[in-house]
Amino acid sequence: MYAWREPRVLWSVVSERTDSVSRPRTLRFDREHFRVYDAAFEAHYLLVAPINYLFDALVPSVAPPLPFWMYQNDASAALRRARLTVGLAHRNVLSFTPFATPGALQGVWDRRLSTAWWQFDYGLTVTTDDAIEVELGVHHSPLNIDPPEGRRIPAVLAFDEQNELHPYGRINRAQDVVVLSSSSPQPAFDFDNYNAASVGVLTPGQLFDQAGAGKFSAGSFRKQRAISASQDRAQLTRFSAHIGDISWGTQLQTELGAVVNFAESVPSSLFHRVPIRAKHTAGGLEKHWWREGAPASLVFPTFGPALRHRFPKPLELKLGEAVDFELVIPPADGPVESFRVQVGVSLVGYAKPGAA
Amino acid sequence: MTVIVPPKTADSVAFSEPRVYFGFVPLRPNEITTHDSEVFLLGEKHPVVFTRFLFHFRANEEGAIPPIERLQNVRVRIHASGQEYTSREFLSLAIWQNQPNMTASPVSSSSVSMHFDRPVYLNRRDQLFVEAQFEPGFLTELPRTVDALFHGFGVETNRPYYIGDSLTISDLTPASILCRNDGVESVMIVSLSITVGPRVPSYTTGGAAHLLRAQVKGLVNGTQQIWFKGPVDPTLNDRCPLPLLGVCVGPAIVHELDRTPRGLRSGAVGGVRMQPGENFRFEVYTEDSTLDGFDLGISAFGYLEVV
Repeated sequence: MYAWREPRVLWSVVSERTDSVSRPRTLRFDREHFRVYDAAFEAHYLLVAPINYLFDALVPSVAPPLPFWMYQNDASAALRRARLTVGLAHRNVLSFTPFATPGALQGVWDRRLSTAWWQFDYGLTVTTDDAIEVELGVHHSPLNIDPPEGRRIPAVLAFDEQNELHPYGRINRAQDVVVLSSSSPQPAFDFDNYNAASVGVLTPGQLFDQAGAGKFSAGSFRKQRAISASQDRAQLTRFSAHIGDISWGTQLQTELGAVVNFAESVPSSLFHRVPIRAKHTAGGLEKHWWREGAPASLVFPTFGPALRHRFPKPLELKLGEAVDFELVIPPADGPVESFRVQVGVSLVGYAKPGAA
Repeated sequence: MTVIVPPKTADSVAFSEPRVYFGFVPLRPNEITTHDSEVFLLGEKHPVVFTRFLFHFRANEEGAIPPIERLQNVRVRIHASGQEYTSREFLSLAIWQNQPNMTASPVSSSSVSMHFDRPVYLNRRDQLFVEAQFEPGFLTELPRTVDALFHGFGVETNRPYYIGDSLTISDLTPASILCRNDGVESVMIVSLSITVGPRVPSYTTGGAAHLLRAQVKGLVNGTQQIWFKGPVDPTLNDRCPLPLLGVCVGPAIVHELDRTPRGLRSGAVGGVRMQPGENFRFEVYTEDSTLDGFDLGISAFGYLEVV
């Protein structure tokens, strides 16, 4: 029995053009991104998500301009025929087509409410002095589509806390934040540096607003603790986020109305397009819970827009071990699938400090 | 003032019956609004254990209803017996959601379903009475078929039972659906589904749960009281809008209360136990001018504990 566990996510994204591919191609995720780096790790969930698309399903009305196709094609096409293989210690442990992910139907996520959460399997203990800092990054909008009221997308970050002394058993620490929308032609997740104007994969300094617009700060977290003389620690039970993308969706419709058949096209969630990071700033291992800048959809396993598989038994990984992921993509068979497959995968679970 | 009463054990509960308290809060941009003070006040003789809150827009008299995504722009703060529940801040309704209840949209837009953590005992020959009435303003949407179906199992054979009926409603007067246990054994009812079908006979429009209000009561069993209690309305008489009943399936936002048993303040199924005379108060705030003139519907779902 370990004294405590801390949330951890190992994640990576692969990106590939498919317009010139005539045979199935195997894409390998960076193994170092799935190497256990600070403490033994137990993975409870595997998430798969299409990253940085404008549409989950796209039905164009007229031939779109080229920049539109570079990043804004059909996310479901990227997933529905790809095959994912998970390997551990030279052994394939899982192999499936993502849309057939076991457990993918545990509740239907609805982008109209745009809320995702992680119900912790173990209560995350925080003392009165501990603090957790969470931050949503900047939304890079390659087509310069922004909400009319400015480049600020409303969002909320929140933790539920089990509190036995409170008459209703639960309190909530929450912070309203904003996701700034950048007009930079550089997309947040340009992992293969495809855009001619891009300067490579963005650093955390470029992914997150330096003034902290998207930050649920440690100070704010600490200030919202329940005051009780007899209670020096609490259990966090849920981590949730909401990204309010109503205006973004409306603007998308306005600006691309001539290009896209909106009656049948489904805009993709901003959870696939906005980076996130989190860490203990006092207490815990004082490290980020995952490599900074993960797309938000890859860190909310309980309920969110990613496809998810819950392991029947947690996958135990020792310090230094790594997991291999391969994605086999078929050749493009039409314009919608052309140009880009960009898929993210994450292992979501808990670090176990002190375990071998 | 909260009255402290001796703790009741699960054994002291003679029986439970589902209860939904519901009300409406007018939405006015940049203004804090709340409901009538009587609405979420427990006026029964027995305590009620609440397990969930539901939130959804109410259709106005012209039959219009805001798009569901506008719920993101509504903020809510909840007081229970004078104390804030979870947070003293107004939080977006989207972040209150902590229980998935949506299915594929053709289903969740036309059907609601509620599961009873505490089953309802239905004797042989006993009846549950479902009353359905369409909202004013939707006469042109009629006629439509309404189905009500209780699901359960026999107490002796454990075989499944489906007790319900359907009828086509073509006007705004209340219609009754009698669900009678005609079997040879008593049945433990564990869930209820109500579905509003497309317009008949053309079937040109989809199902729409938000068009209907419903009420349930046992004719012989239980307290013989109505299950859903709302503000007094001379025309709609305590019938609850269907979206506010969609605990397991439906279009509403569902917030599940803490389910850890905590002595006085919770029941055997967790939740929050409220004593007679206690109340909830929901305060609502929005800056969205497109919601001006609409109401937010709120319901509190739980179980009456007859002790």
